[in-house]
Amino acid sequence: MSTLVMTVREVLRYRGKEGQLAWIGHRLAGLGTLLFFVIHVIDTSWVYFWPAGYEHAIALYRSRPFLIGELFLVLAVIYHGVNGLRVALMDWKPRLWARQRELTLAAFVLTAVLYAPAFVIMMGHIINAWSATGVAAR
Amino acid sequence: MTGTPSYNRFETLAWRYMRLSGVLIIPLVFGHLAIVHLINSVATIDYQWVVETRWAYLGWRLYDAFLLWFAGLHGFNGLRTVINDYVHNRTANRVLNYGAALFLILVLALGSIALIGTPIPEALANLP
Repeated sequence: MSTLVMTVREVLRYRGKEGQLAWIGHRLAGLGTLLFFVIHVIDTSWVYFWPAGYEHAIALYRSRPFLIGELFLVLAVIYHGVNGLRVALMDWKPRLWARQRELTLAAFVLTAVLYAPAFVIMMGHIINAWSATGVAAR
Repeated sequence: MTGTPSYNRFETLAWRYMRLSGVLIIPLVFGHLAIVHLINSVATIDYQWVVETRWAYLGWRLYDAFLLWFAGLHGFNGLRTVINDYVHNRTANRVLNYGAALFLILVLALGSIALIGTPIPEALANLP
């Protein structure tokens, strides 16, 4: 546990620049995605075990906090995928470590490029849903 | 201990698995996100959609099964790394790691049973 405290403190204090940001972002995005993955597999399994429960779960996903959570989830998945690809590439071709900084920045940029259209489309879904049901309804 | 660094077969395999499964999952997950969150959305998805337009097809069940197993093992191996980084008390470390492993087995079992067991609606199954 003391190492967890140390990690939190050092993340705030240590100026590891983009490398450290990429690392903590990868870890948080991974853990967040895993949390959603577990919830999502359980509720999807209700299609078989408890169909009414599945409809309840979907209704919950249509609520405001979950729609906003979905925006973060998709960002987390895209970032974890793009940054993970960078890590795998660098481990595969170690000479790329010489370009570590540029590749890390490239991962940030590619994440933004892929996320931007996804964000716009999902915001469209959210606005459609809210204008159809009336914002006060949920 | 000094001398040659120790070689841990399991950790080496786990390290390789994270790279290989990660690269493999990327197209699967991005495809899943595009279909479920962008082309469709939680506003249009419901029980009927899953049963009639997805799990009526063996291909989609296999797609979901690959995603379930590769992503599940990838995620829980990541969790194991995080636990080992932060929890050094031997007992607490074991309890958390074994607890996570049991939970992974439960999640994989639930998902797999649903993927295998959900019947195809008769109206679709009887199509010529």
